[in-house]
Amino acid sequence: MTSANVAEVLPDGNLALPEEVKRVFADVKTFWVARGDGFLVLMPLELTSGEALLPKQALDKLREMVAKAGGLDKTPAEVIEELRAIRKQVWESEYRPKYAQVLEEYYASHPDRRPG
Amino acid sequence: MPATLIVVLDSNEYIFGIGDPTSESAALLDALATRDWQGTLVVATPWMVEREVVRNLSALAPMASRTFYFLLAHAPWDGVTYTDPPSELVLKYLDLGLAEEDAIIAAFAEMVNAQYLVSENRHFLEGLKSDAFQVINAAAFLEMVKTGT
Repeated sequence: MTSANVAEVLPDGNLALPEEVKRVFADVKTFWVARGDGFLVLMPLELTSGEALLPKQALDKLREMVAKAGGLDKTPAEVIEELRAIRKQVWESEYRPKYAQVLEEYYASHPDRRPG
Repeated sequence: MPATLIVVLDSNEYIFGIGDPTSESAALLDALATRDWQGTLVVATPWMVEREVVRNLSALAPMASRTFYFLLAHAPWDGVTYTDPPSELVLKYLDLGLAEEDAIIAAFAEMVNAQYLVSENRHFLEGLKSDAFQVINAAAFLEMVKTGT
């Protein structure tokens, strides 16, 4: 990952990337911006030199990628349990700290609802 | 049906819909990705669902997350909402018996005025009785949009 000085936050709140980064992504028309764990991620979506994907094509491509990787080798119940485990991890690490105080107040008055 | 339906898809709909092309979840994703829903339906996606799907997909196929984001960036999907639900809504769903990590999804659905939360998770399907939205599975949702009820 490149050092933090590659991006500049402009007075209007926009983010400006330097020429070096622009050159790397010269063919990219659209980016998706997502929050990573402690950073922002810019993902190139469509290339001006290629055909833009349609949502159904994206879906088919996703299915192909997963099938090539061996597909879902779990039962529906196992998949749901796996997703529940991820949800619990994300809740504990990302969400719960934001609600910690209000949850403590809630459990103080609703002790029967306190988990485990 | 209201003029514009707002729908939240649980993470399992994406994993089943991508991983098992014969599933009802796959039929649901196909319908969303192929029909013209402009002005009639919007899919709202909480950050939690995005995280779950990306982590699960990345374990299966490392480059899949980029394509998944592409899907979320196009109608009827409305990107990812990073705004956290207000605490009073989270507490409302704790009161209704949900676990903390499920309460955040239900609170999100109410925050964005969703009419439906679509999930294959029996904890939601059997346990959540909200006055703000209905919880249904992919098959029921497909039937509902087919008949327009």
